[in-house]
Amino acid sequence: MKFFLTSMFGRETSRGDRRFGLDRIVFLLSLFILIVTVLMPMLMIVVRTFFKGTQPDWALFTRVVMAPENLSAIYNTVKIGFFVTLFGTVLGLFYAWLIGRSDIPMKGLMKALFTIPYMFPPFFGAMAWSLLLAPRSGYMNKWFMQLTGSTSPLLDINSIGGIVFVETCYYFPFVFLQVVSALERMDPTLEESARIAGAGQWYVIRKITLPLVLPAIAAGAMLILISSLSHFGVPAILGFSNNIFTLPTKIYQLINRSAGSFDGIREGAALSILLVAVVVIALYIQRIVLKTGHYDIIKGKSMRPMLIKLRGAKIPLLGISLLSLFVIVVVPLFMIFIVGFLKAYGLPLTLQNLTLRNYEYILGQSKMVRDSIMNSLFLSVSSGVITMFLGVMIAYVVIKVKPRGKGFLEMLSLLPYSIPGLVLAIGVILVWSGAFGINLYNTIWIILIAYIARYVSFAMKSASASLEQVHYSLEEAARSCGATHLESLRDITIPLIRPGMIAGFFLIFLPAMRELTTSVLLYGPFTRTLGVAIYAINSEGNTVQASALATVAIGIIIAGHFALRYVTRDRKGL
Amino acid sequence: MAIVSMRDITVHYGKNAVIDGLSLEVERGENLAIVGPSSCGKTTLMRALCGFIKIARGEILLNDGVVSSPSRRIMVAPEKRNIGVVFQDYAVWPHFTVFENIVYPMRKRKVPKEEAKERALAAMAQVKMQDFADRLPSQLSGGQQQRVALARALVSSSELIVLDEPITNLDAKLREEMAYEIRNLQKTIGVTVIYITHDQETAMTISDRMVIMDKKGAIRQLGSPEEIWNHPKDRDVYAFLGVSNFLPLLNENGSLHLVSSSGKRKFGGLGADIPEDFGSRLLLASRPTDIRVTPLPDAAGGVEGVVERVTYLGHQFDYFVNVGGHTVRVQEDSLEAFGRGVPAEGSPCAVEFLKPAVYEADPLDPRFDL
Repeated sequence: MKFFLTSMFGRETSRGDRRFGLDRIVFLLSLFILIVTVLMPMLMIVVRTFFKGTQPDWALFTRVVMAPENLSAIYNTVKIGFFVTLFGTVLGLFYAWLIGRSDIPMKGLMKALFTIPYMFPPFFGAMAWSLLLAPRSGYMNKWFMQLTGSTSPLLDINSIGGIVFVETCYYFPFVFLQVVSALERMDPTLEESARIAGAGQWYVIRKITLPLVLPAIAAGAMLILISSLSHFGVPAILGFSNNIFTLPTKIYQLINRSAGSFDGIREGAALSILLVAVVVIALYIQRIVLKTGHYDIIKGKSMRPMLIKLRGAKIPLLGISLLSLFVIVVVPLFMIFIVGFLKAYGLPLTLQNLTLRNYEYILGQSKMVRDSIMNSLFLSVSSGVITMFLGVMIAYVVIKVKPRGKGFLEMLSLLPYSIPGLVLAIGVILVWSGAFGINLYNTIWIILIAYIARYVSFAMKSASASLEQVHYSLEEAARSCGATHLESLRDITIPLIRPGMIAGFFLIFLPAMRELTTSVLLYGPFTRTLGVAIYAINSEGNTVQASALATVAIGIIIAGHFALRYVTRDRKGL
Repeated sequence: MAIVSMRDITVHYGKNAVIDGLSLEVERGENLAIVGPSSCGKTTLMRALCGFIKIARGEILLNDGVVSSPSRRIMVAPEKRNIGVVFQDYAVWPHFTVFENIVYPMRKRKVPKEEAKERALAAMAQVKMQDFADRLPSQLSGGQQQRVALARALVSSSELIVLDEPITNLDAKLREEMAYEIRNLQKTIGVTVIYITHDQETAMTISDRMVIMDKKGAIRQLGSPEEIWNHPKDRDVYAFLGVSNFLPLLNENGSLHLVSSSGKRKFGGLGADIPEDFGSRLLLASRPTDIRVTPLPDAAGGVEGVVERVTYLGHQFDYFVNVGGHTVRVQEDSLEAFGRGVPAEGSPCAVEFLKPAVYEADPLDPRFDL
């Protein structure tokens, strides 16, 4: 640590100290923010787990790891993660191939539909499917029982299988989008030359196409795995009633039950370490299984690939794709939308059972709901702005200033990417509930801090992408024209990355608007967020109101997406 | 009086010294070309001069004022050095129009608005971009962007302009035009120009003096284009300046022998003096245009060879002649060749070297191992 500090605060930088003032300030400031928001929470989790006061204490961790209920939670987490990754990858791959390499019609429509699950939080899907397939009250199960006279439901969504199904529906686009873009950028002559050399269609897919897109598959599968292992919403909504727990839901239950007592939080911290360990091990195993190679033959520009003629299979495959899209995208949205207008949950879906009363209640009478919308808007906008600027600062230091210690800064900013939101929340509680003399517990500021930590990776990646487009000679040209360092940033660099900054803002604003995992541990009586409000109303059994509020959230998210589209549309001159 | 003095400067990238102990004086109002192969440190030199990178040792003076000196802890910021720069990638700002790009340096230097506008328009006219004032750079061709960059450099300093490979990306015709323009600008305005390039031909058209740098980042030769072309200091400079032929000669007590595939061959009539301190291994250097090939029966002198290939390029003939196992490239003006008779492929001939130069050979030169 001592060496580290001297190297970081030492005078020398690799590009000279001509920018000593401003660049150094930017570097130290972003480093400070990251240490406080990202590193300290992580360290506090470790410290609190293994130390009681100042005494080392291993007993807690061993007890937590060995508890049978926690072991079964680990088992469930891994099982769900495995199957979601497996099914999600297969599904994503199949659709990617169909859209990227076959002559199936209606590609534009399908591509647009596939990106929709991206936009909505998976726990909306869990709510929607529970409306259809809850064992006794689900509409589909009721119709089935009425039709067949059977007393057992058709399907039970409150099961491991149900959780896997809903998560798969929401996470397969990760693989789909990665692979489609890799296929589009792949030089089609690579496949064509194999065909010319006498290879058959299937041989080409197995031996040429698949290995070439393997890195894209691996990247997408990794995203699915991380997301599923640390996912809270779906298992919380579908699993609690049947006592199916995963590590994230277990952590939530523990903290919730202990009502903020210190021992409860310590135990939650120990479980968090377990969850992080599971994520790390899973990623490591996956790295071994799918050794990612780098293939330069995937080019940046898009080319026209050779399309495979589906012939007789075209119509059936189109049918299957449209049907599955209908089930994955349209059905849940429709259910939430329609149930939001029902007088009471369980009533048949007929016109005379519809009402606007739910909206009247949530938007008019319920102060809690109105507060939650305001809270979420405040949190999303402020964390969007702050994190976006933080991301620009970090990216600027990493890409342009390149001081010693930039690797550490970069690592800190990308760390939250693979840290589950719940774990981050616990760390934030440990740091900001008085341990260092500042108590923000139950205020909106603690949620804001957690959001900043959670989304800084997005902001940093998006800012890096646009900063890399600004060649350093553009800034140097301004300097040689008489602009100071600050002026060259203000006149040249910032205007050039402004569109990227606005896009970066929305990349934070949108997920923050529907955030549940982190805020569910951090909210206080007056600081509920939109996600928490929907979740709470739903778990209290007020399904119709929860659906109405979810519809409102969907409206806000769609509006945000249109705004994002508008700001990232093709720009002249850049 | 020198406008730029670099004294014994050293520049490091990481642990490598890109430039090691280089000294150079640039005279006021002159047009200096810095020429050298790719990655020889030309651009690094320019960046050190402009203040974009620090030097590790030595000092740089502008107008007799020290701007870079690590030992005296002086590092004047780039914006205070008052140097106009044309970057290799133009660095025309994509979010500014042509006019905004050109007027920017004057805005930063607080030139009154009216005057700035006038000077920007004049600079645009100089580079023939006056009709494009409101275009964005993305609507311009590469050559037009380059001209915008040049106009911007012209208004940003009336004293010193550094151009880094400014016209290499243009097609041949436009390149010639721009080279002429740059030379003209310099003559009419009187600004000092430092022109960095790897293309020795353009350097010769443009410059008053040339600096030849080698791969190690050191200066090999400094002089006027004529001086350097006529008296290259060593065989590397000779080879760098254009297509060149080198033949290995052995000097045995004053009589010269060509090292050929069929053993040593007597080589008479060199027509150049051999300095006394040279060893026995020599290289005869000769340009393709300075060699005369004559079909054998009519030959008056020279060494014997065989014409292997004859290529007609319209204005000239290219011959590849095998002289004792070495391939010699010869160029002959078409008119002259038709007058003298074009040798047939495969025919024996005599080869005369009209204006050869002699250098000492490297001890490991493979040409001696035939």
